[in-house]
Amino acid sequence: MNKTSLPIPVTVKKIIKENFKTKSFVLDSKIKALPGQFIMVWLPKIAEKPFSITDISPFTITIMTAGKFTKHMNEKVKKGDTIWFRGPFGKGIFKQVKGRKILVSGGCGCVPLYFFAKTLKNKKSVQVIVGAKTKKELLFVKKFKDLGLNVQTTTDDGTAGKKGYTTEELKRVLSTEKINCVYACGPEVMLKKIVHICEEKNVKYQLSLEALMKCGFGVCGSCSVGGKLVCKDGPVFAKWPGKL
Amino acid sequence: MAKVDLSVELYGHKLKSPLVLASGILGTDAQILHRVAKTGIGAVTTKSCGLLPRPGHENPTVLAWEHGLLNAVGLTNPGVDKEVEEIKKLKKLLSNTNTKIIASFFGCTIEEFGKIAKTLSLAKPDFLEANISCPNTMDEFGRPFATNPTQTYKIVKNVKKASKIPLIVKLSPNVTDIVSIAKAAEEGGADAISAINALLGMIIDTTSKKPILTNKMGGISGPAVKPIAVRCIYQIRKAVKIPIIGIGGVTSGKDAIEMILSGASAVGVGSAVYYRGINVFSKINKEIEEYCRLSSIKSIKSLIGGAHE
Repeated sequence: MNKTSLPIPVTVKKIIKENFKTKSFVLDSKIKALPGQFIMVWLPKIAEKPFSITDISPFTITIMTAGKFTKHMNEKVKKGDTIWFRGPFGKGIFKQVKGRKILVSGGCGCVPLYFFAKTLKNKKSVQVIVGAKTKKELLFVKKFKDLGLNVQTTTDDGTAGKKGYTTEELKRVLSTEKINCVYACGPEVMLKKIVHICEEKNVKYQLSLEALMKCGFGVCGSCSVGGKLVCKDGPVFAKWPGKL
Repeated sequence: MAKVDLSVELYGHKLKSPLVLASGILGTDAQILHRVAKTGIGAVTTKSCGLLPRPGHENPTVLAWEHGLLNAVGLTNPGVDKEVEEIKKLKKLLSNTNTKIIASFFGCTIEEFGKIAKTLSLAKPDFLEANISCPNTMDEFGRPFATNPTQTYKIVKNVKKASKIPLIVKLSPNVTDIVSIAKAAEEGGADAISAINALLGMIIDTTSKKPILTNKMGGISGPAVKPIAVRCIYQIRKAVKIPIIGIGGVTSGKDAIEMILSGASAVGVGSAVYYRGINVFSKINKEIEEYCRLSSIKSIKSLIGGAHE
């Protein structure tokens, strides 16, 4: 029964500012992980929270300030500090599908999509839509471009890219081009809309879901959605697990 | 090959398999319990609910160490009113599976146990399970009621007055004499006993020099606790007449047989989901059947308490 899940210490090797409230942490450790998998990060006496893996070469996670824990990560943790993690977790991962693909990111949803994008061989058949509320909240636009992908941005207020939602841009693309699979991560409303759009157009989709996590390994039931466990069956699903 | 009869009796209810999903594992909503029910399990236990909603403790709440799990989830639950709705939903989903429902609950006071039992009964679960032994809320609630025979007796009396649904009382191993508590539960009118709840433990991370769980202490479950559970059930079997659901570290058919031989009529499985996945129940069922076939046993019932003979 020597299968443990205890926090492992790791040194923060480098911190990269991604936008005014988001940082990437390059960690001084090797990790075997697949696109879509996540880790649980523990800060002693503070808390433990789940985060998608941004990259494995080098091992990187990206954190947007949203609450007490993420604020601490972004404001207090410095290069050379130790943080702890369990994982990687999740059997549901982003899987390659032949043909043209489109990645749709809302907010910090770009994190697992970037990891996936890095593993794609034929980058010419991939488009990315990166959306945010406003220009300064856009994330990973340059990172996706640097991979050689065609990136379209949208902002709710029109301060950058097209004014409106990622889903409107997705709809436009799907009505003009033959796309084989939509890969998405972002707010639940966006993901649900994408399910509707894809089902209507009969396009395959793979979505990374977010849920309240406790154990991370499929026993506590905290992240259950429609009989599926987001931590273990997901976090990536090729069919929406619950009620839409 | 003759079919082995895996069914057991638990206070007038026939369980198609002796396996029961232990409380606190995957019991958070109707749909996930429905998925567990499809694995050939005899009964599922919902996660303990209280009078009011509780968010539970901050993470880390569940860890896996070398010989088991350590958890201090902290009785996270939606409150009894929402739980009633969830159990009603579950009852509908399970209507054609003949899987029984055990509704677990906890109270902060002796009186509260009766109050919650009454409300929970509106959902008509097959059993109620009074969790008087959660080890993870001592900062708020003090020592669990299961450490005191008089309090145990009073809670059981109170619940029996409030509801006609058969009552299981879940006992704690974190006591000097579990037998005296089991007897108190039986005298109070309990219809069955489930034992054991998790053992109180702690893991300290040597790099940060801090306990890992936010609650610092937590309940140990899984393979490490099995010999303790077997011993407790053996002792309880000798002292009381009511049936026992044996819980603690069962991960294989052989473990389940051991529990049954010690005196358990049914066997709770929880942490094993970590080691063998949600299908662990069908795997253990198959292993029990195989054991019975090899030993020419026609019915699992004939093994109950076999180690006492």
